[in-house]
Amino acid sequence: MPSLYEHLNLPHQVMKKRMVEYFSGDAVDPDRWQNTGFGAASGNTTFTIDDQVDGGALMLVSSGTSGEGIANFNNIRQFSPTGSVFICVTKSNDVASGQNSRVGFKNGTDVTFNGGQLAGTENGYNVSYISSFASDNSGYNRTNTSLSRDSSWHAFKGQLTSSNYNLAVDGVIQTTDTTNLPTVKLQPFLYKAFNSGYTSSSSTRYFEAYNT
Amino acid sequence: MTIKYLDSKRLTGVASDTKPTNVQTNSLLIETDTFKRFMFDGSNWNRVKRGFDSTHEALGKVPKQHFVEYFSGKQIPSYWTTTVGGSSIIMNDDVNGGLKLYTTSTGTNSNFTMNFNNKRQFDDNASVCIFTVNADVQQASTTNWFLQVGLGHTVGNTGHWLSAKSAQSYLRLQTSQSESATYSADTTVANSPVWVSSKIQNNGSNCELSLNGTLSATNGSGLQTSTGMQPNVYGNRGTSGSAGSNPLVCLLGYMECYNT
Repeated sequence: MPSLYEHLNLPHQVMKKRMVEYFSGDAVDPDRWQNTGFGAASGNTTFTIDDQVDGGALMLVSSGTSGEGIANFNNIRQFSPTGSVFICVTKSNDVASGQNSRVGFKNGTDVTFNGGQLAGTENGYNVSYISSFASDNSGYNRTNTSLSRDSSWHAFKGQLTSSNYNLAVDGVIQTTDTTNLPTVKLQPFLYKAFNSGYTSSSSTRYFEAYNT
Repeated sequence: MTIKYLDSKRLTGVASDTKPTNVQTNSLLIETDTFKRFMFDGSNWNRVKRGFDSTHEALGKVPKQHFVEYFSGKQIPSYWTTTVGGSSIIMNDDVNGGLKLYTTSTGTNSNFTMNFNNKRQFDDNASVCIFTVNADVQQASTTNWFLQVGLGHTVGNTGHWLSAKSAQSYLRLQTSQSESATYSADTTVANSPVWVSSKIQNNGSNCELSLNGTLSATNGSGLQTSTGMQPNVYGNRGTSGSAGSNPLVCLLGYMECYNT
């Protein structure tokens, strides 16, 4: 079939919202992504296309003290909390204590995660394992996968339904969360944080999101 | 369920159906109850068990000009040229929202357009435009409100478009050359603000409109004779009539254009 649309849909269906980002070109698409630094990373966060084979986009946060950076759609939230999927190929470029890489769906553009209305992944903080992370407006639920925290490329697939949040890593379902699921409309996000003394980065070369 | 024959060598059926063998090689059959896909090799139906390594392989041809727009992100990409007169174009902050084009003024002939600034890479004789659209032209209450979406040489003047307009109860196919418009008969899809999957296929001798997967209209006259097409969107809010202050609204969720 010559049509991408007809590969993705049965003929009689109207395709729901879908987005595919390849992170390729001379710059991260400024019409699609907004990148913001917080704390000491304010003004010290970059989100650029990496001049490396398979490099994708590099999110880099740096300064003398702790800080956070987040990229998102500037509150254009077209994805459903009860029927959506994100697929993200990404890696943390370091595993230093205190660094944290997160990707997934989030309601807001801020860096509030406990109570922040999101469903995503976590690779870092003070947890020894890659984990799923879900949050409504009252709290959060972090569930460890069987995978130790690392700096390798992984394909994450998060699926939200009305009753649970499944996270698959590299094709294997690792976690199923049923509590603290987001309840409001969502946008894609990529997040990086570091603690004092580090310059920290993550790389992402594919992000696909769609409603089911 | 019996086997259904669609366009572009595609078929649908259910797992219990007997798969036909009097079809073209490389036909694709989708079992709608199992979502399994089968490809016909000229003799047998073979299960397509895995994905493709590339989009190129998935699309199955030496690629001609091909364009995909998801209308997602913080704002409309800069490769679109837009005009607004008493209107606005924004990325919609709603689930499944897409791009929202809408009038903000009640002035007669408030309008919006969108195109590729006359970069016409699509063949008026051999191309396809697929899009999802949700159009509200207040058709029962207005005069000279219209929305045109599709491919054309010149916005509002020359092209092949899905037409939603005043006093038109059902969606139609519009073919135009130099503002001389030919409208198909009514399709069976109501001209009302619901999401519709639309496919316009330019075949040279005619232009076909499929709605929600079903061939719904064919125009063999009034076809564009100018060379080259670009994506076109044109909305116009005529006189308010009994629509009062309601806006003309066009939501676009997806657009794909390619030469065949």
